[in-house]
Amino acid sequence: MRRLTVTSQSIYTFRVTIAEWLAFAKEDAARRGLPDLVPILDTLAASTAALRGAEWNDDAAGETPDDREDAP
Amino acid sequence: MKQANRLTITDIAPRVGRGELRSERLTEECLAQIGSLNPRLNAFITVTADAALAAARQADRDIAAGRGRGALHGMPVSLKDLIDQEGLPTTAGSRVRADHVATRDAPIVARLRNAGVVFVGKTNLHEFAFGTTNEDSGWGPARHPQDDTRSPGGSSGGSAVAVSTAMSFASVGTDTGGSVRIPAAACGIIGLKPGWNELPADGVVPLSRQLDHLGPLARSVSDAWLLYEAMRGSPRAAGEPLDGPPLRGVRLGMLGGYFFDRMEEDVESALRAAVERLRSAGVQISEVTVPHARDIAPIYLHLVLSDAAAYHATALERHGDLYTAPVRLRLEMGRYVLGEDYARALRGREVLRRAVTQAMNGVDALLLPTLSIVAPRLGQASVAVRGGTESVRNVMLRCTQLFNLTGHPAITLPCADTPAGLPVGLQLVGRSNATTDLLRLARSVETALDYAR
Repeated sequence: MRRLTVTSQSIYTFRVTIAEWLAFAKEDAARRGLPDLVPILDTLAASTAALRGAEWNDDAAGETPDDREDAP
Repeated sequence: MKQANRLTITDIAPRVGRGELRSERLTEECLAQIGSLNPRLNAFITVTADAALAAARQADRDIAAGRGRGALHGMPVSLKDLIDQEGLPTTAGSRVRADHVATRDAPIVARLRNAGVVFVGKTNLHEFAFGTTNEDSGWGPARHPQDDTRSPGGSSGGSAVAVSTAMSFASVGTDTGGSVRIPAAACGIIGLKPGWNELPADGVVPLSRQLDHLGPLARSVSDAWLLYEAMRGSPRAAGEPLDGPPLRGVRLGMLGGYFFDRMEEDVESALRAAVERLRSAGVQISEVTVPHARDIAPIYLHLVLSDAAAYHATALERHGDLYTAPVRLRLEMGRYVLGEDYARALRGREVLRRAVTQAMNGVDALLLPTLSIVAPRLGQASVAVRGGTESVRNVMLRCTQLFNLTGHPAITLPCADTPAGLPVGLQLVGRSNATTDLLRLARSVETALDYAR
């Protein structure tokens, strides 16, 4: 079984910015004995940044989504 | 690539139905091709020669007794080895499943069996269908029939090799981001991804259940239609034609921009020449755009990584060392996708689905490349295109993965060869729930392109 050993420091400081998520993911991959995974996590991070930056993302403080088929 | 054997099911089915040509002979010829070419091309993981010959002889007896079942009766067909066929291993191209044996046919296999198909074997694939080149397989890479230092594309690479070299008349593959259309284009044959959820995926090892599509690889559009109809449970009669519309007045929307900006020059030249042939045939071609095209890859990646990681999580813990290293790493990467980003990707998928539907307003179908590059070299990780460098995987998925996200039916047809003699594919995309209309249009386009003649 995978051993969940998140350090107390990471529990209290981990936030969901891409940079902090990436640092956590790399640390976790190395700890799990998957060093080759560490560099390719950068690819995922770049993709996640693009996803979060897409202009169609909803913003709870902004406009109400319009998902009708005929919406512009 | 002009194929050595362009005989199609559509061509010969009437002769088989009249008893002028025997299934046993067709099957023997396919098995001989497998025996001759498979040691070099590695298209098959399992070959079922004895069972195939027995089924062929039974088909011949049934036809002679007036119990013919239609155009596919007695036709040698192969299956990508992630589709269950009773009594055989379904390896999914992985040593993780080396001991698996299917206890029943997948529904689409049962339907093909009812249509009289003769199954000759299970074809090689990129491990768990998670790649575009077929080089990461637990059984070694499948190789391009024209140049065995090249990939045949993937993930259904063995199926494309089998069909293009007459090891089987057709094959059934799966397409999660382009895995039917990519190898079909790389090997110069037809590949159909029907609309979303038209064919049952039970008994098929999933990559992403929300993106997986089953589809045929074939030597002609009519052959692809015959398999598609049989897999829907409606086998067609021998000699029953797939009639296409006159091309004069047909309106195609050509997707430019993002879909052309990583193309090799030889591929683009071949494709644009094919477009001009269609214009000469009377097709009206206008440029259309799909908004948010740059978001396609991130949306696709977050969905497929997460879905695949969820399916494989237990096996990764227990048998991680049995995966090929690249596929294992890709699966492990999926375990780090956050829930909020998966939700964003689901939202983005709906945005793209609406964008493609709107792009089809005023046209009969969309037209775009299938592959931006020719079949890559085995082991090639990146490719230089238009002054930049891209990963081979990203470039190969660039023009196909959108329609797995949106569920629109799509088909690739060979349209030309590059000066180096490697095939180039042209992709047509139809309206939702209109796969048969797309096939009819593709039939007319195939005639106008005249690739195989």
